[in-house]
Amino acid sequence: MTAVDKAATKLRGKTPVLLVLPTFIHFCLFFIAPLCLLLVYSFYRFVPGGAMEETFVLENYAKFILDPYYRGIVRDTILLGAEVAFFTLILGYPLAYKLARTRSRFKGFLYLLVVMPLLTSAVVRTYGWMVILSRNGIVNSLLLKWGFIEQPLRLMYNRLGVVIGLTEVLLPFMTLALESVLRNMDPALEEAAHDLGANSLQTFLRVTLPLSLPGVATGSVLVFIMAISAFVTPTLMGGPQVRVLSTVVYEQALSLVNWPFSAAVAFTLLALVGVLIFVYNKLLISGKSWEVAQ
Amino acid sequence: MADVQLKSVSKVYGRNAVVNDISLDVEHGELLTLVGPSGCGKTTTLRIVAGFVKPTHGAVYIQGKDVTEIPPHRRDTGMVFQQYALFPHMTVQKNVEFGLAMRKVGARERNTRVGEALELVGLAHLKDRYPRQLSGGQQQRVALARVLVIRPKVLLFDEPLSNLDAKLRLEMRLEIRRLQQEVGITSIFVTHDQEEAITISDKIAVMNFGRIEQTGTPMEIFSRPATPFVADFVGTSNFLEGKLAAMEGDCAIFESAGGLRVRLGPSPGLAAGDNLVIAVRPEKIILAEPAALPGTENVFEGEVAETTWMGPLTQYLILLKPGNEKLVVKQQNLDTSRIFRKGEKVSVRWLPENCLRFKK
Ligand SMILES: Nc1ncnc2c1ncn2[C@@H]1O[C@H](COP(=O)(O)OP(=O)(O)O)[C@@H](O)[C@H]1O
Ligand SMILES: [Mg+2]
Repeated sequence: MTAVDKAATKLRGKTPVLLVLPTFIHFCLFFIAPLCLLLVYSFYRFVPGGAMEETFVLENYAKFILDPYYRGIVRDTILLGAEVAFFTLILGYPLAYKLARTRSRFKGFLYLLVVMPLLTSAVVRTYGWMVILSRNGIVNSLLLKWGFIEQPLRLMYNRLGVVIGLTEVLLPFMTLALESVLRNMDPALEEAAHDLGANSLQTFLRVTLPLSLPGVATGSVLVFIMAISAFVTPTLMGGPQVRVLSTVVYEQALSLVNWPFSAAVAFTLLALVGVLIFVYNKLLISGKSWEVAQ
Repeated sequence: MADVQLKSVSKVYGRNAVVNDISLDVEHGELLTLVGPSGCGKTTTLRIVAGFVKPTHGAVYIQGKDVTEIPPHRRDTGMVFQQYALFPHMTVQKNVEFGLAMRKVGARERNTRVGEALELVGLAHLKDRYPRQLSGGQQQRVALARVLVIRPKVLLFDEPLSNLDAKLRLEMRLEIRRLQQEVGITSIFVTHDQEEAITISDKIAVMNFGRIEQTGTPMEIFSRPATPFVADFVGTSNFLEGKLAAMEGDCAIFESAGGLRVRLGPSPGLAAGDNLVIAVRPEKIILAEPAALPGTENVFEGEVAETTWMGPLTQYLILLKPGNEKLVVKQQNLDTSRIFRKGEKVSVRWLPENCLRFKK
C-alpha cells in the first residue's frame, strides 16, 4: 500500500466528519462567536454617546431586572407568547385533526394551504391584514354598515394586532406538531371508546386529548418561543406603542446604541427560551412513561 | 326473534357496492361467522352493526329495535378490534373499567366487575400493567375482558386472531369460543380463515363481492356448499365442467369437457343436457396402482404430475386420461400407503355421492 493509499483510507474513515465540517465552521463563526461576544458585552459598562467600557459589571442585568418598566415588558412578552400559543392551539387542533384524518385526494393541497402563511413575506401578510383590519378595512366597514358599532374598532397597530398577526403566522407550527401525533394515533382507539359507550366529548377528553398531549406540548413550546422572540410582526402589526423584549433589544442597540444593555436583554430572552426547552424535555420524558415498558 | 338482524343492508362507496343487499339473522346466544376473501366486505358489515358505518340502504335491528340511526355509543355492542385498540395511556384495570365508567356504574361495583372479567380471562395479576408491557395474547385477553365486562347485547370480533402466531391462534380461538358460550352473548365473528370459521361457529355466512353466498351450520357449509365459490372456499379444489350425458334412473351420468364419464349420486331435478360443474374434495379420492381398484364405477387412469409431501398428508396433482384434466388428491400418510412419484401411472376413484354438482 502506497503512502497515498494510506492517506486516502485514513481520510475515508473521516468522511462524515469532513462532510459536517463546513456547516460546523459556519455555525461557530456566525452564530456561536457573535453570541459569545454578546455575552461579554452584556457585562461591559455603557458610556453615553455609544462607547463601551471594558469591565465586568452586573449593572445591565440589574437595571433590567429591577426597573419596573422592563419587568413589565418581560411580563407582557411572556403573556403575549402564552396568548398566541393558546389561540394557535384552539385554532390549530380542529385543523390538525381534520388534516390527520382526511382521506381526501387533495390532502397535499391542504398541507400547502396550512403552511401558506410561512411562504408569504411578513410585509405582504401585514399589508393583507391592513386591508382587513384597519380603520377603513373590511371588518370595520361591515360592522359599521350593519350597525353593530358606531366608531371603527382599533384592530391593529396595538397589542390585539400583534396577537392576530402572530397567531396567523405561527399557526402552521402548531398545526403540524399536532397533526403528526394525531396522524400516528390509531383511529380504532377512538372507535373503541365510542363502542364502549363514550360520546364524542368523552372520547375527546379521555382518549384523543391525553394521547395528543406530546403534540400539544411540542406545538405550544415552539409557538411560545417563536412568539416571544418575534420582531417583524410585532413591529409591523403593533406599531410603535407595542413593546416586547425583541423590540427593546432592537431599540437599545440601534437607536440608543446601548450595546451592553441590549446584550443583557437579549441574553435574558435566550435564558428564558433555554429554561423552557429544558422543562419541556423533562416533561416529555416523564409524560411518556406509559410508552416504555419498565 | 333473532337478536341481531340485518335487513337488505347495502353500503355504496362512490359507485362501488362494498356491501350488497345483505340480510342476516343471528339468534340469541349464537356465534355467527362472516367469512370470505379479503376485501369482500366483512369488516364493513361488522362496522355497520357497530354503527361506525351508516348503511346506504337497509336497516339493522338489535333485539328487535331498529338501531340504524343510533350512534355507536348508544348501541350496546362490544367490539374486539384486529389490533386490539387498547388505550395505551391506561392500565389494564383502567382499560377494562372504561365502559363501566361511561355507563356511570358506581366505583365499588366497577371494581368487582373488572376483577371478575380479568379473572375470567386469567389476567387478574396484571391489572396494573400498561398495554405495552403485555404480550400479544395477553393484550387480546384484555380486549376481551374490556368488552365482556359491559355485558353488551352483541359481541363483535374483527379478525381478532390474525396478529397472533399459529399456536396461540388455535389456543385463543378455543378460549374465545369457551368464553362466548359461558357468558352466552350473541356474537358476530369476522375471519378470512375457513378453518377458523368452521371450528368456532354455530352458523357461518360465506361472503363474496359484498354478497352472502350461503348461510348455514359449519357442517352444511362444508359438506353441502351451495355454489362453486363456497365449495372452493371450504377447500374443494377439484372442479370439472361439462354436461349431463344421461340419466340412469335416479342417478346421472356426467360427461366432462375432457371426456370423463362420471356417475353422480341421486340427482333429482336434473335432466340430460344440463350444463353442470361438479366438484370433489381432494381427501375423498382414493389413489392406487394402475388397474388395482375393484369395480368400474368412477375409476379413472392418470399420471402423477406433482407430489408434495406435507407431513401427515401427501398431496398429488394428477392428470387424468383422456383429456388431461387436473385433479388434486390428498392422501393420509398411513404405514400402508405408498408415495407415488412424478410420472408414475395411477388410478383414482371416488364415490358417486361425493360429487357436488352445481348448475351453470
Ligand atoms: N371508507 C371507505 N371508502 C372507500 N372504500 C372503502 C372504505 N372502506 C372499505 N372500502 C372498500 O370496501 C371493500 C371491502 O372492505 P372491507 O369491508 O374492509 O373488506 P374485508 O374486511 O372483507 O377485507 C374494500 O375493497 C375496501 O377498499
Ligand atoms: Mg377486514
